[in-house]
This record gives sequence, structure tokens and C-alpha cells, in this order.
Amino acid sequence: MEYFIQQLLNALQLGSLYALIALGYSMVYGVLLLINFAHGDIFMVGAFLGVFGSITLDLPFVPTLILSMVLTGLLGVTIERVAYKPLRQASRLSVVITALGVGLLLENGMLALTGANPRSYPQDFITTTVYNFGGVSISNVKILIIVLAAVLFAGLYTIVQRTKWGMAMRAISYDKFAVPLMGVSQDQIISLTFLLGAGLAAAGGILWGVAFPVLNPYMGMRVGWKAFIAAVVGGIGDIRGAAIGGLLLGFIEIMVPAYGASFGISSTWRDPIAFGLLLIILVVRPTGLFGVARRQKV
Amino acid sequence: MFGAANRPFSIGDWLVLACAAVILIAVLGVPWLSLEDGSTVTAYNLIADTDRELDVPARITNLFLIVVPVVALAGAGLAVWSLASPRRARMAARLVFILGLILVGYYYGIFFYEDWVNDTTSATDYVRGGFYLALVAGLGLVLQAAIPRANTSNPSEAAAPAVVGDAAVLPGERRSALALGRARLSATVRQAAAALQLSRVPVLAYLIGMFAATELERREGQAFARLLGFRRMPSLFGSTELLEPFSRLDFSGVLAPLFPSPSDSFDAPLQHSWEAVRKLAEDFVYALTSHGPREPGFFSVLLRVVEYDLIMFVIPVLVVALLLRRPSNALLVRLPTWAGLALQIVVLYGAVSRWGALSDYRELVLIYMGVNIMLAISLNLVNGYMGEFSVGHAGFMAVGAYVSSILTMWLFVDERVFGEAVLSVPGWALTIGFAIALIAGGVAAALAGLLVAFPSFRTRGDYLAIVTLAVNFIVTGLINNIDAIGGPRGLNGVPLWTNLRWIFVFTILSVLAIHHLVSSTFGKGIVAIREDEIAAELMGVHTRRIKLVAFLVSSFIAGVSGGLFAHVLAYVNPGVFGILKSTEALVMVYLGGMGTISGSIVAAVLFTILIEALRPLAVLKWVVLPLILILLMLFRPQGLFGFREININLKGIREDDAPAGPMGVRDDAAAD
Repeated sequence: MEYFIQQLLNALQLGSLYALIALGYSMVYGVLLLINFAHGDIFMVGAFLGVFGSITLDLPFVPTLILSMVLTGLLGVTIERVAYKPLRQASRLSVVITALGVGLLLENGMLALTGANPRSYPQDFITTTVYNFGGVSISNVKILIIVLAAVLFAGLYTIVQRTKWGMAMRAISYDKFAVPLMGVSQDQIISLTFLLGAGLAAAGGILWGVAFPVLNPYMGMRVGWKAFIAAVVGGIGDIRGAAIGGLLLGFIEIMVPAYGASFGISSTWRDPIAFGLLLIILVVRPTGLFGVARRQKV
Repeated sequence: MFGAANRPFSIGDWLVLACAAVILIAVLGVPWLSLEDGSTVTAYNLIADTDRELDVPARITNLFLIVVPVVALAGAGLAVWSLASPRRARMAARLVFILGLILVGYYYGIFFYEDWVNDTTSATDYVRGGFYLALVAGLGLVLQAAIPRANTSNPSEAAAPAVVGDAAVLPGERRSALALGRARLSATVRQAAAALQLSRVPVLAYLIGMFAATELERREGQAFARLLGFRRMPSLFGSTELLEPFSRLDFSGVLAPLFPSPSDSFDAPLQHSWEAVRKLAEDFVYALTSHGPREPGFFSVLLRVVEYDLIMFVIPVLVVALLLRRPSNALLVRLPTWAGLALQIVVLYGAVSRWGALSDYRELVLIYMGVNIMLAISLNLVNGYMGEFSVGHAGFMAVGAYVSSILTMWLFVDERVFGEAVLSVPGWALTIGFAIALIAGGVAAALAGLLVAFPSFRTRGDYLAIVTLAVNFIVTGLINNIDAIGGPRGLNGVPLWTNLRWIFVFTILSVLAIHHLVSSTFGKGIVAIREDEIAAELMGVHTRRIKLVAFLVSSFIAGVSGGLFAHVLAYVNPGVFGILKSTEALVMVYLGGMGTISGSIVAAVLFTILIEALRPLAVLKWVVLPLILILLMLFRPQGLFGFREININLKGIREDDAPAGPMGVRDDAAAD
């Protein structure tokens, strides 16, 4: 039982991180119907900006987090303005391919400009303390990640559901041709979406760096794809779905090696199982757990 | 400006003036020869030096140094004279054309022949610079002879640019000046190509030209490359040498101080960063401009590469193709279609194998090209013709690579992974065995393709893209986890059996197969799915069957290409077939354009050369490639070809389709 609770906490930690990143995929898809393949690399840039804040500027945790979220959010907006906006009228595939290109550009540009040494945050960034509750050990890092992710999600949910901006976002994903007619600037809403999505990815990046302290320019690719699966499993375009999908994926990724070892399933089976799950969900329920099928009109 | 006729000054006229000026500068200003005592001599001195006062080396007193400048000067004079009036223009243009042919013929004939016979270093040692300027300007003059002048050509054609020209003068129309220039330039280029009748040359003639060019390079390439200062023959048309100067640039210091790793510390990060940028800029300027035998800079390498390619490839191909236009047309018209096709394939193989035989590296690059062509056209079948979005093509390649490698290693080769060969067969049977193994790999990949084909009945668009992506990850993930075939360490000891012949045969076969598929009635069904799946279904197109077949064929070809790829690498590991490989395939498809086989082929060839050319840049290679992809999407989303094909005129171009003037000067409207 202790073992299970321990693993459950690990799963919650990993799942919250996936959820934070998956939110960005989902929001952008909801508004633009674009799979933003560069999102994983935006996450990487966020983590690296954490290094910039914590080591170069010598800031404590919270200012670093805010700095990184703001800068990364601006990066997201810039990418949208430069690379995606000119293609608003083009076929959707060319935007997706551009997104793939932007992602490769970010990670390889980072590698070229900063060199290949792995980065990590300083020792005193977050001092790890481990608490013990009857055989279950839990570190303050885990608590921080789970709580912060929950807070950020709640904040985002409030913005999307309760504010005018959020209403405009939902309206665009519902009918993007009618919204400009109502006097809402489509460009502003799209920029806001990228700002929020990239900011959340940056938070995810810093928390990821705290939990798994090896940062390299290619970290975004693996994590990004995983978060993308989470978004699809939950039903891409729906932020509750992204959160649930992230938690589900974290659960599977932790529980499979934790309980599969006795069946000869080692941790290297995580990827095939996660993607196999994706495949099954897409075949059985093509729009994900929360997604609503859009009927194609003839 | 010139002459009585009150006509607009066309691009062709500007070209004449520019070429004439270049020739004048080359003859009068640029040194052609340096004497023993260190002084230099221009071409004008050589022509004027009738009394032989100059101490010119004995070998150089041949006509070469005098004929070329005299011909160039005469051509330039004639061309400028042609600006005077329309009637003279046509005659002068023809004369210039003939003189130009003499110049080029002289160059290739006497110059190369003498060097070959005498087996010495050549006259180019003495005549760099000026000679090439004159040669290039002479070619420009020859080209302009083919460009119709505004008032000699059909009035209706001349009218179009002229009207735009008037509009450009209007006040407040500033932007259109550039657009006008571009429109005029493209119109001129199109007219020039039409006048030279390049488009009326059947592909066969170009292939023979390529064959001739490779033959020329085989005989003369080595010596000529050394003359130009290359250490060895440029392997891929000089593209690999082009970026070599930049290989010493190190970008990693620019942002590293801002993102320090735990091992290093910087007390003044901005200053470190600035220092790195400054050093980088210095290195960059050095890499651009330095010259000299040891570390030539970009510009000097570029000059040499252009010289080499122009003289070894471009000019011979064009000349041979233009000369053989009529005979090859006549031949093709008489041959049945299949024979024409076979003839073209044989000539292509001759040219390619001759070109590849010059170094192992070239053969390797050709094999990669073949693999990439198969990959690109098979992906284009799904993405371009059927309109789905498959992003996991490398997964099928991985299946094919692994299955065929396991078969050949297990059955035919003694190595460490599977022990001794199960079958001991004579050498000739290995060929059949390899072919069977490749086919088996393709079949296995096709079975993996079912993983995509079945979901495609229910989902399409983004969600199907995700399915293909997942299949790619699942395939590599499974291979990673099967220890018997090496897991993440990969499979070592795959026999090196893929050679040029194998790749050529399979590439041609897959191109033909895809071509026949998409041009059949069945293929119309594939396109119908792209255009509107529901409408196609209503019209009685059996969409499920068509999707199934398209995915099967596509993954089959990808699997075969994977098998060929594995047998040239001699080592496969799952990392090779990751999402990066899939992205490469996507880049090729979208570079060439969707729904076009010839586009995919051209793109695959260009892409392979580009990859090799970018090799010296190391990390930056993967910065430049996505940048190209993004710019392509922003500025030319339809790709190079975009739903158009090159017509390879298997039956030849009939002469009676449109009678054309002998020189291509456009005085008849029929050449349209």
C-alpha cells in the first residue's frame, strides 16, 4: 500500500508536468486548429531561461519562474507573429510543417548557440527536504510541483471560463468566422493564446528542471511529444481534457514499470505502451476522451 | 536611345551593353599573363604585340591568347552595332552566335586537346581572371542573340512589357518598378529559353548531354580541378567544398555564458558573450574573403566551383542537347514508347554510373539519393496524391530495414549476432536472396502500414497524422526493446550489398510503379479522395479499398528503401529511423511539391546534395535545414513543382507541331 501511494505521488508529479505542457497544445489547437509542434521546444526554452534567471541573474525561485514565463510567453507570441500568421490563409498542412520547422530550429539553434554541455539549476534554487509519513516519503519538490500545477491550471481555467478574453477564445474555437464580425480582434486573441500556452510551458520547464535536473536542448522533443499525446488522449482543444490526459499519461508511465517489472516489462517499454494507448484511443474514440466530433457537412 | 527605331530599351539590350563592357574590361584591364620578370600583360598587349617584343613563354605564343580576345572583341563590337537598328540586329545576332560557338568550340577543342596530348599543366595557369570574364561575357552575348528585341519580335508580345513600362513611369507607382523589372526579367528568360528551344529539346538529348559531360569529366576533371586549385576533384559539383570555409566557425560561445553549465562559471557573462560574437564576426569575414592555397575563403571557392561546373557540366550539357535536338527527336518518334523509355533509362544509367565511378563518396551519395527518391515518392503518394498527412514514414523504413537485414544476416552471412549462415549458397544465388530479403522487408513494412490504413477509415486530417506519428514511435520503441536484434545498440554487421546497380533498379521500378498507379483509373480515385472524400464515395469510388492499397504501396516502397539503406550503412539502430528521418522525408515532399513525381525526384536529389553540402557546418546543418523549410512554406508553399510534372516526351517532340526558325530568333508567332 505504501508502495502504491509512493508511486501514485510520482505519477501525480509527472502527470502534472505533462498536463502543464499539454495545455499549450490544446489551447492553440482549440483556437487555430494547428498542432503546434514547436511547443515542446518552447518548453525547453522556458527551462533554459530558468538557468539564465537562477545562475546568471542569481534570482530566487519565484522571480525566476515569473521571468521565464514572461519571456517564453513573448517568444511564443513572436513565433506566432513571424511564422504562423502569414500562413493564416494557407492550407493547414503548410502551417503544421512550419511548426515542425520552428521546433527543429529552436532546439538546434539552442544547441548551436550554447554548446552541448548539460545544464542544471543551482543547489540552493530549491532545497530539497523529504518528509516521511508512515513509510511514504514525499519531498517538498513534489508538493511544489503538484500544487503549483494545480494552481496554474485553476488560474487558466478561470481565465478561459470567466473572463471576456476567455469567452473570446472559446468563441473563436467555436466559429472563427463569426467572431471578427462581433468586433473581437482575432489576432489579439490568438496572441493571448500563445502567450498563455508558452507561459505555462515555461512553468512546466522550470518545474521539470527542478524535478529532473538535466537540461539539454533536445529535452523538449521527448517531453513535447509525450505532452502532445496527453493532449490528444484528453481530446485536443479542450483544456480539461489536456489536464486529465496529462495525469493519465503520467499514471501509466509510472505504474507500468512499477508493477510490470514482475511480468518482465521494464521501464524501456514506457514509450511503446504510451503510444500504443494513443493508437487504441484514437481508433476507438477518434476525438479523444473529451473531444466533440465535428460533423462534416457535405 | 540607339538607332532610328523609337523602341524601348529591352533587357536584351542592357545585357548586350553589360557583356560588351565586361569584355572590354577583361581585354583591356585585367591581366591575362604574368611574365618572368613579374610584370603582367593584358589581352590587349598580346593582340597588339605583333612584333613579339613581349617575353611571352614559348607555349603560350599559340593562337589561344590572341584568338580568344579578338573573337570576344569582335563579338562585343557586333553586338553593340546590333543595337543600332532592327535589321542589323538580326544579322549581328547571328554573327555573334556563330562567333560565340567558335569561342566555346575553340576552348573545348584546342585547349583541352592540347593539354591532354602534351600532358602538361595548361594555359589556364596564365589566363585566369580575364579569360573567364571574357568567356562568361561571350556566353552572355550568345544568349542575348536569342533574346528577341522589342521591335523585331511579334508586336503583341512586345506590347505587354511596354505597357507595363509606361505604367511604371506614372507618379506614385513606385512599388511597381520592382515588380515590373521582375516581370520583364521572367518574360525575357522565358522568351530566351523558348527561342533557344530548350523546351523543345527532348529529355533524351539532355541525358546524352549529361553522359557527354560525365565523360568529359572522367577524362579531364582531375587535371582541370588541379588547375583551378582544388586539392582533388570536386565530388558533388563542388557543393561540398563550398561551405568548407565556414566549418571553423564556433557559435557555441555566443549564448553559453548566459546559460552556464555547472562546470563552468563566468563572472561577466555579457562581456564573454560579446567577445564571442566579435570573434565570430572576425572568423566569418575571414572565412568569406581569405584566399590562398591552404585555406581558401568562400568567395574564392565559389569562383572556382562556378568555373568548374560551368565548363565541365553546364556548357557541354547545353551544347550537346541543342545539337542533338533534331536527331534524338527523329529517333524517338520512330521508336515504340517502351523502347524510348528503355533507351532513356540506359543512357541515364550510363551517365549516373560514369559520374559515380569517379569516387566511392559519389557512389555513396548516389545511393542515398536513390533511397531518398523512393522515400519521397512513396510519401508523396499518401501526402500529395491522397491528401492525407503522414508524418511517420521512417517507421515503415525501419521495419523494412530490420526485416531485410535480419534475413540476409541470418540466412547468408556469418557474423556474430545470428552466428553462421543458415544457407550456404553460391554467389549468384546471393543476388536472388538479397532481392527476396528486400521484398520481404517491403512486405513487412506494408503489414505495418495496415496499422495506419485501418485507422484511416475512421479518422483523417490531424488525427490520422497523430496515428502515423504514433506508429513511428511504436516501431522504434519495439525495436528498442527486442534484445535479440540488438535493442538500442542496433544491429551490427549487415552485409554491404547495396550498390549503384541495385539502387538504380529499385528506384526506377518504384518510380514506374507509382507513376502507373497514379495515372491509372485507380489513381484517379486516389486524387478524388484528396479533393473530396465524401463526394468521391457518393460517386462510387471505393474509398476504403483505395486507401488500403495506397497505404500498402507507400509503406512497401518505404520498406524496400529501408532495406537498401540498411545494406549500405552496414549498421542499423532504431535512432536512425526516428522523427528526424520522417521530417527529412516531409521536407523532400514539400520541397518538390505535392502530387508530383518529378518534383519529388528533383527535391530528393537536391536535398541529398544539400545535406552533404551542409555537412561541414556540423550542428548548424540542422539550423539551416528547418530554416529552409520555414522560408519555403512562407514564400512558396506549393513547392518547386506543385501538381505539375516534367514531360519527358517519350515519343519525341514532333517537328510539325510548330515550325521553328533556325536560330530561334522569334520572328514567327508559331513558336508559342
